[in-house]
Amino acid sequence: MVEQNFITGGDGAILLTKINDVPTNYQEDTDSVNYLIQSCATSKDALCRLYQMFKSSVFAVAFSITCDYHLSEDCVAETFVRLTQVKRFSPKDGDGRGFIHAVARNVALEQRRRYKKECRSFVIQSYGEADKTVEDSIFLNQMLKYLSDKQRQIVVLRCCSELSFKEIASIMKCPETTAKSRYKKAISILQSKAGEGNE
Amino acid sequence: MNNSEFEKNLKNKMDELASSVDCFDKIAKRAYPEENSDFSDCEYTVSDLENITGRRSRFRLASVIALAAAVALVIFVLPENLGFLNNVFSDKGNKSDIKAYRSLIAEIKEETENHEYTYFDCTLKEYIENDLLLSPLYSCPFEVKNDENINVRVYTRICGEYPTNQIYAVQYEGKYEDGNILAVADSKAKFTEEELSEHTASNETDFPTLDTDTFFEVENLICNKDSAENEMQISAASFTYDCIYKLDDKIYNTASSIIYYVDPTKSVVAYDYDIISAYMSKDIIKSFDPSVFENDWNTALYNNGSSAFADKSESVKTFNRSDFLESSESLYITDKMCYTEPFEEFPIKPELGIEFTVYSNISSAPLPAPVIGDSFRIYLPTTLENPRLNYSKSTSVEGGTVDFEPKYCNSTYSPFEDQENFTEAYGESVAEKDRLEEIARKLEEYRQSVEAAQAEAEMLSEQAAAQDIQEEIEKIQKLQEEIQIASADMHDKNAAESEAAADAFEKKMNEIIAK
Repeated sequence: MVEQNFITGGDGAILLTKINDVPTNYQEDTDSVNYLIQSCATSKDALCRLYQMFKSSVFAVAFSITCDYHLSEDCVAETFVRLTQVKRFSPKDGDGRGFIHAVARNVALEQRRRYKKECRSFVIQSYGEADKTVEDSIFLNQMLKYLSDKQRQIVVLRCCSELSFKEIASIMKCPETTAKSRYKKAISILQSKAGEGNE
Repeated sequence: MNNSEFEKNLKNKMDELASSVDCFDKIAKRAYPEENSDFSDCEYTVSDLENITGRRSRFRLASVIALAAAVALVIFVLPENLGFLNNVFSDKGNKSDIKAYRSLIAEIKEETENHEYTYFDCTLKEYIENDLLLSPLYSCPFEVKNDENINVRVYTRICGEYPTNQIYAVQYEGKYEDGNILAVADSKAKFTEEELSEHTASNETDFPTLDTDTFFEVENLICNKDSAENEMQISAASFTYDCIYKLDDKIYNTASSIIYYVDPTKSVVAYDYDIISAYMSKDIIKSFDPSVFENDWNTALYNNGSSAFADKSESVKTFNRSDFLESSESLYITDKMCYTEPFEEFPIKPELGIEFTVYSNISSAPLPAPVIGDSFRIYLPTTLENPRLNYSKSTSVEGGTVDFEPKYCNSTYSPFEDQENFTEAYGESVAEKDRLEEIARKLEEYRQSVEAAQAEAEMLSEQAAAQDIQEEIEKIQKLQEEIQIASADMHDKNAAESEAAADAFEKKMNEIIAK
């Protein structure tokens, strides 16, 4: 279970995310995402913890861009490998969670460009025996196909990665108001399409 | 289905899909490779492992024949079809220029095969006329040619999702093939893989946002016209372009805001534009001189080695740089203006040849849209009634008209409120900024002192409560003592009374016995 504690201070809230059910050797005051990013280059434990914390949301970000299960899986691997290669990440410079998602997004965009996949195509890759995976992939692609590329990313960052609009704006390099309006627009499109589907 | 159910549904499905991902071992092997390779106990050397059976490999005649055939093909057959090799025997241009041209061709092949590039194709005429909308920081390097069959392909190197300023332009005839290339050009900026990796891993990864700067200047363009007839012309648009820019061995994350508007004084359709640029340096936005963008091409060569650069004095372009942003007159209040972002609002994809026109009760001029660059905006005055957006594509019959709701540059503005009550929404003066910072600092101090007073009050009330409890305890203790004394007295009293009664009884008994 993830417990989130907010400490108010100054102009905003500082988020501490604690994992309660994963055994740890770290002291309580260093058990934060930023510290894990700094440590993961030399500590497999730190990398493992980051992987457990962020695998799902990194996958979600990658899938929102590549629309392909296997490419997204590759993106997850590449993202965490790159985190171990970060040379100069300082906790003072920002939010580690946002940093991880920004890296995941860049990796996914590179992968998509490299394989020149059209996200709106529904050609199914050979998933072999993983029928459930195919089903879920199709379902998600169907759900998101009416959204533009940026709308899809924002919806996933908000719903699946549970980031705030401020964090999303920082990752997407747009104003916070733009992120909110894109999200609102995307949700209204999804609702209207769901309504049409039910008729 | 309401919003929260949507979100929950999406999250659940995504989590289900992600649950089957299990690649930590793969990650650990790549991230910590020295932990995994240990062949110290292996008895074989590498060469032994390659020939584990110990048998000699046979001489493979087929491989040798295939190699010889490939060499013969390269020497005798391909030169007939490869145009650039014919230029080796051409007597035009000197040898060093031709060598430079061939070297540039090889560089383009190597770069585009081994690194990340995007590219677009268009006719040479389209590129010359719309270079601002296609590659905002680079104008077309090639001179005009009247042949409609001449095309240009522009390659832009990418880092992550951002373009860099390392670009190549290739002029060709008909279809893009090696033999059809007529000229090439390259940028001065060249990135190495190490430079880009280091830049990506550094903390300087943010790009500045230039939205607020744009509003001032554009309103000036729309509203501050000399002629009454042109005063309310809707002719201005803007877009932003982020670029990882290398200049003199330093790399900057630049954001540029490009604003263009129809020049009503010209007889042919032409646009004036200006550009403002900035970059981030340790969380501070710094101005970036856009004049550097004008001198960024390194070479432009025809296939005979001669220069392919356009003569700037002769070229007639659709977009002309006009320095209006720096020299603009007094600025209007931004409340007068609103905008729409067609690519955000509507399912219209940016592509070359698409134009927008805003129709309303007054005339307006068409605005071509950029092919690249985010936040494409069309600006219009707030006094327009029921504006409608029309778009068309020059390359096809596609197009349409859509209604839209304009967004106000000042989010608190309403056209129904008294405009005299508004002050400037943007562009605080330095003094105003200082005053606001001072107020913020004082508020913070007050907040801290209130918190301290609250803490002290809590402490005092706790102390008072403790004291009350102590007094109660003392009272109870005193009461207990009194009860003990009283019970002791009662005990003594009872004992004395019992003794007296016993004596009286004994006396009476003795009297009875005596009688």
